[in-house]
Amino acid sequence: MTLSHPPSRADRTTPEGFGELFDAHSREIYNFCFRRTADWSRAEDLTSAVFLEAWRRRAEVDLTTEPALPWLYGVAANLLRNQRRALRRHRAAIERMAPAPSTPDFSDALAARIDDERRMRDLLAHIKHLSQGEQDVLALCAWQNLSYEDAARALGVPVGTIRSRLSRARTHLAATEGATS
Amino acid sequence: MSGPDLTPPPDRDLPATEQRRAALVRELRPPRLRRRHVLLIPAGLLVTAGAAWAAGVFSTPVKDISTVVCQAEAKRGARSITLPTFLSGQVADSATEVCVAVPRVAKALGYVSAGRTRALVSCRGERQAVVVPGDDASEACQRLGLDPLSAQQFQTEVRRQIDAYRLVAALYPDPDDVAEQGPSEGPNCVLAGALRQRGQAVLRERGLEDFRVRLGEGGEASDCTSEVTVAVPTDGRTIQILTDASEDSSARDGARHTLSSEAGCRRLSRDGRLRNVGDMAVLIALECIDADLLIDRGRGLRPAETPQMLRVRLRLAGWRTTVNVPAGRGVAQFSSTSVDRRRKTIEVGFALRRIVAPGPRPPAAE
Repeated sequence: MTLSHPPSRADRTTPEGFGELFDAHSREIYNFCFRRTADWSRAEDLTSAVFLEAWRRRAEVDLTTEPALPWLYGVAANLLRNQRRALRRHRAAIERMAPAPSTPDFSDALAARIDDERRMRDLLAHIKHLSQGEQDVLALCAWQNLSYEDAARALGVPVGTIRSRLSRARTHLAATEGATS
Repeated sequence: MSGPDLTPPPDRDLPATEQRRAALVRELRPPRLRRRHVLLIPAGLLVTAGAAWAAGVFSTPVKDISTVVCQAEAKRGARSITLPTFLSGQVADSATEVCVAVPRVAKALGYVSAGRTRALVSCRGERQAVVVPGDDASEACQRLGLDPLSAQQFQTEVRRQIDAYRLVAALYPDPDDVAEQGPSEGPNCVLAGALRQRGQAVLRERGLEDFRVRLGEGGEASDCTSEVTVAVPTDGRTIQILTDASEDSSARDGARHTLSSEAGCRRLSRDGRLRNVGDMAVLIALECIDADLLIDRGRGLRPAETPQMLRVRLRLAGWRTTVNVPAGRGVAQFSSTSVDRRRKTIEVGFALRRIVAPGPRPPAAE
């Protein structure tokens, strides 16, 4: 996957600079949050929370030299581990950020979203016996198409750990599949 | 990868990305920028505008008051007890009334002493009404850096919250809604996602679009549930639809006190330590249940709403509620309760009033 360049360091320290980060990466973070929760509505809130949390932690990373997306994935992965706390912390801001509701959606789009959620729940049920670390690596590398290097950057672990976790995940999934069939 | 097909659903766009981005940028802007703009206004202009402002403050519509903070003194860090606007607004017309409506709260904060009630004023804080002792609202509120809040402003906002809640709560009990939204295999089942969408649409139609209808934590849009609780807007702007699967975050936020096993209404009101809304909810909902309290002044409470209101109050107090509704179609009517205080459970029974369907249509004339 190609990672877009982050805004300049000067931009990054401003809300407008963070707005650019949001433009560039909110879609990926939204879909990542959905794939870890199987809930589109919650993924919307979590996406807001990820950027609010990232802003809070912006001093921890130098985005002039580091690509932003792996770092944002890292923030998201941490946040997803304790969603309730994160959502509670940013609750008021998330509420203010939520757009005004548009026309009601009883159409195919709603049905498709429900189908997505059902499908994703099934997938998460398949991998629920994996460790949290293995699930994170699987989600980042297999579902978000991150390179091993970027996944390592996101999770703050060596590349070798990413490889071994992915390998273990594959082994476990194959074993589970074998046992099921 | 070998093994099961682990291909996730395709990517989707984040809805309303532009609006969210703009809101994020606004959210991240430091508040001091706004303050600086205020300081640039000439002092003379401020003086001239002062009187007009003071008159306007009391009449400006106020939105987003989710709690009433009853404070012992008009200074920061003073002892305080927080009550939710929604519940307390059912039984009081102003924020100051809320703080004296529960005797133990009033006594604990020194509002009532030797049979005399001190003068109280209310101020408008961030998402809350702040009640403090004092004769002059402008002066007392200014000490807290807040604007005064009139009873009318409080009432108007609470009415909107109650209206929003009622509109959403009224969707579920309608048997036609249930039948329309439920799957073919079970008529007493409603799709939570569809209910949320309909709730939001109804609120918009009534000019209450600033309220959001959300599913409770853990609830899924695809949940087809036989039990729905519509929770109070604890943050002043969110109405939660709680299904069998969802967690009640309003209960988590609202109830922090655990009742002892024998604590009943009388004991609580006389000897117990009333420390938060949980106690107040139980007082109202159990032994102290009083039809007058459940009737919003001058407006009345819809019969179908009463059991839901009860469940909301009980959830706030950390109680578990079981609702038994017979299978079939009809209008649910309250019939019985069974309370186990030790286990903090309450069972509410309903009977179904049969819906009389219209007779067959006469054959069309030739």
